[in-house]
Amino acid sequence: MTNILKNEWLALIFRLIVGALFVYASLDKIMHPEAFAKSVYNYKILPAALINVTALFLPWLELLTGAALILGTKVKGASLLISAMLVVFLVAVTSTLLRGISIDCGCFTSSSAGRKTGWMLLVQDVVLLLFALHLYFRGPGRLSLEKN
Amino acid sequence: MSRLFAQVMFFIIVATILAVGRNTVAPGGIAWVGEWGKAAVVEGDSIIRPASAEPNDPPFLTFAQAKEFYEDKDNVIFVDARYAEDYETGHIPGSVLLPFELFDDYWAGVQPRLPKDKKIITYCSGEDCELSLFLARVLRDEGYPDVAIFYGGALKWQENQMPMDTSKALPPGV
Repeated sequence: MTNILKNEWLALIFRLIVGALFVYASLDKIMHPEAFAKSVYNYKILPAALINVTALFLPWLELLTGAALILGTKVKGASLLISAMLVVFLVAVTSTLLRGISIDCGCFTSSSAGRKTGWMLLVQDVVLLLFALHLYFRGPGRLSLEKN
Repeated sequence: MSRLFAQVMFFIIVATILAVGRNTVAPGGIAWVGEWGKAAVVEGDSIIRPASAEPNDPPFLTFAQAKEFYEDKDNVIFVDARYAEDYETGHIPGSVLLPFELFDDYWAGVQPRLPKDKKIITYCSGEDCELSLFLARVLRDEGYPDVAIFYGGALKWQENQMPMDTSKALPPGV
């Protein structure tokens, strides 16, 4: 098992998956900050004054760290930041699930339709977090701009 | 350790510069501090409306107005914009279930129950929920001439000790 984990191709795969996902996710948020700010508001976690700043700043961080992972540069810093962002997302999504808040509309719902997306997000984020942590501790792997 | 710190700072600083640049220069930027306070309360008898309401939206009703229309059962139909589970937890008696998020799935079955000569009043859970507004806009665009929004929703209804129905929604086409 540890041999698979040491495999440098595995690290490359992790980099590409996490990097591409973060880059892809960031683009729509950069193009439509108002819609993303509304999403952030719907979590009902941040104080009102911080919502827009978060909505404006976060997607760029996602874009830069995602791109860095794809290229295999500044991997330790990128994977650390991505791990931190994923932990924050995990906490936020869990919080909405526990409070019964629907992320789509920001309102309370006991519906399972709203919550299924929540649980799926959780699982997805945990998997990505594991990938990111692997990169942080094990390095960038194959085909990276920086040496291992 | 300081190399890691330098990398992290690089990302944060460049992201900040890009964020400020994009928001300042490119179209579609937003305020640095948005108005995400509670729904604005307008006029003495609390017409509650969301901050995102636009001037040509369907009218928002006070609780008193909603209650009056509720008593005019022949000409008024309430429409619940929430999911079925919330509807069954408690809805305004006589209201029709039409989840905004599942509009396309429900519309064919619900449309026969919503004649255009009746007044339609949408609602959802309350002040934090905009599904009622979104649904009202859709119904207006579908050609309903008389649409209004009871933004106080199920919460306000319950606060005023009005009756709540916990029956299941009718199957489609009934």
